[in-house]
Amino acid sequence: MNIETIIESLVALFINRPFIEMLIKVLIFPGLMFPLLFVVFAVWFERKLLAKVHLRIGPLHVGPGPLGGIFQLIADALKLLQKEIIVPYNAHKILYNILPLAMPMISLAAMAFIPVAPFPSVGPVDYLVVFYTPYNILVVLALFAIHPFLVIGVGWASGSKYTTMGALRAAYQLLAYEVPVMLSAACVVMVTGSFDLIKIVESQANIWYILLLPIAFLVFFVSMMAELGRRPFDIPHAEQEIVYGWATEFTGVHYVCVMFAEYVNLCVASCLVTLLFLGGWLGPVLPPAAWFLIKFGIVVVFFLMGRGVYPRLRIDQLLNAGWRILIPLALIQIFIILVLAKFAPWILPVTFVGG
Amino acid sequence: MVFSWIVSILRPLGMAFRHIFKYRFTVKYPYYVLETSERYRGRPVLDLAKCVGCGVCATICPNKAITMVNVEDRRYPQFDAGRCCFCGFCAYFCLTSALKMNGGYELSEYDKSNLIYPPEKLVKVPPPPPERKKVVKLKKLSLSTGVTHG
Ligand code: SF4
Ligand code: SF4
Repeated sequence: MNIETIIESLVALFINRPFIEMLIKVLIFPGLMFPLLFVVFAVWFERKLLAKVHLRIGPLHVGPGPLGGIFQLIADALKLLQKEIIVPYNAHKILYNILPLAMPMISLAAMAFIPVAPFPSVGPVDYLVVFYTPYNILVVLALFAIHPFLVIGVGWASGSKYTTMGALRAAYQLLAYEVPVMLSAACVVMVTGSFDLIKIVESQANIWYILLLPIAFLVFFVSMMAELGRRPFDIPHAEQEIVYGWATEFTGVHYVCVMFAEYVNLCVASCLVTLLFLGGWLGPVLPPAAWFLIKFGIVVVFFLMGRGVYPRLRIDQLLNAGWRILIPLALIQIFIILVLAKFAPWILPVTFVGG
Repeated sequence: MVFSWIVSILRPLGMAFRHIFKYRFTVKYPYYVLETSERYRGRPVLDLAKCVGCGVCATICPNKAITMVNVEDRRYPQFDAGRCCFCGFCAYFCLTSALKMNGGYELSEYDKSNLIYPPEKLVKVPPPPPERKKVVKLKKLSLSTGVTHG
């Protein structure tokens, strides 16, 4: 066995199409690189956008020209990584150290199940998705639903009154948004007849679900905003009331992880809205991935905009909104789908079995 | 009712989107500076040749920002920018018009002791904005919309 054969076998092992495709999927587009770059960009974009809404200029230094401030997040992260990890006296040491590190992992895991576009290939159609299963919407929503429990755990483990209050608020908030999220996602699943995000996108070739199911879109968007804990639903954080809610005690690495997880969640939620209601990668002329990114960007803008515009709701107002408005609206939408399936089935993309 | 409720949610959003394309109320300060308004006073500047050392400025100053110090057997005012409220009394009451309020608002210092201006420093007129700084003029001043610029 000489060195040439070893090199040849290594080349055969690693320089082949499936392996490189897998590398691209896992490391670059829907995989690791995309959420990372998204977080850096989104934080900067959020600051800049809010500044514009407030008629300010916003971040200006640490970055070239109009992109001023784009490297600020990297500088902040480096600074935070150097900082001392302070574990409060009352904290549950093990949970306090592990849970914040688990948060970004679970958020990134949700990202792995999201198909973003068909892979530009000659052979059978392949999709840019790290891990394909035909039930990916269930997996993504389930992984999403883990996050609040981590939040509650973290709030309890930090052993301070503010974090506990934040955790309890997160638990209340969970009651308000989890059911509408599931119901409105169920509308889309009902119309498509599949749990597969790829099938859901492809069934929107004629009409996007934002037009066919506008109420479901509204409910899904609003309850996703609550799920992300973005203003006006940042009740578990509520800086003016309970310092920084469940994340009050975090310093250094833990804080970086927590914030990173929040923004990756934003990324996943925007992907979901794009895929479920805005026709995903479908669109004329431009390549599918470009269409996906454009729609994704628009959804992100609307998610971020809430912070600049609306005041925070009280917890009882949120529960009222969840149970008195969002859930009935979602149920109305389901009723409308059933009526359509009975009397005008040609509108829906698939015929219902027994419809 | 439902309609007005929806409008009340959408209107602020629309306003926010309109704001994105509007002018700014702030300027990129270190690179751009605002032109000061017409009656802006700034800190006092001393004319050594005119000052007779009478001490009226030190007496009238409401904040005790001015103390008289001896320089080569004459008395001159020494000014503390940390205490001054920029009221302009010292210049108004100066018998010989040796003190003038003369623009300049970039008074911050890294060291507190640098805020004290001995007579020889008080003489210096604050420099105009450097070349790299662009002076931004006030666009309009209207009572209904407030000051807008940028
Ligand atoms: S401007 Fe007013 S406060 Fe300042 S030194 Fe003169 S008299 Fe004193
Ligand atoms: S600056 Fe004017 S008021 Fe003050 S000591 Fe000199 S002459 Fe008198």
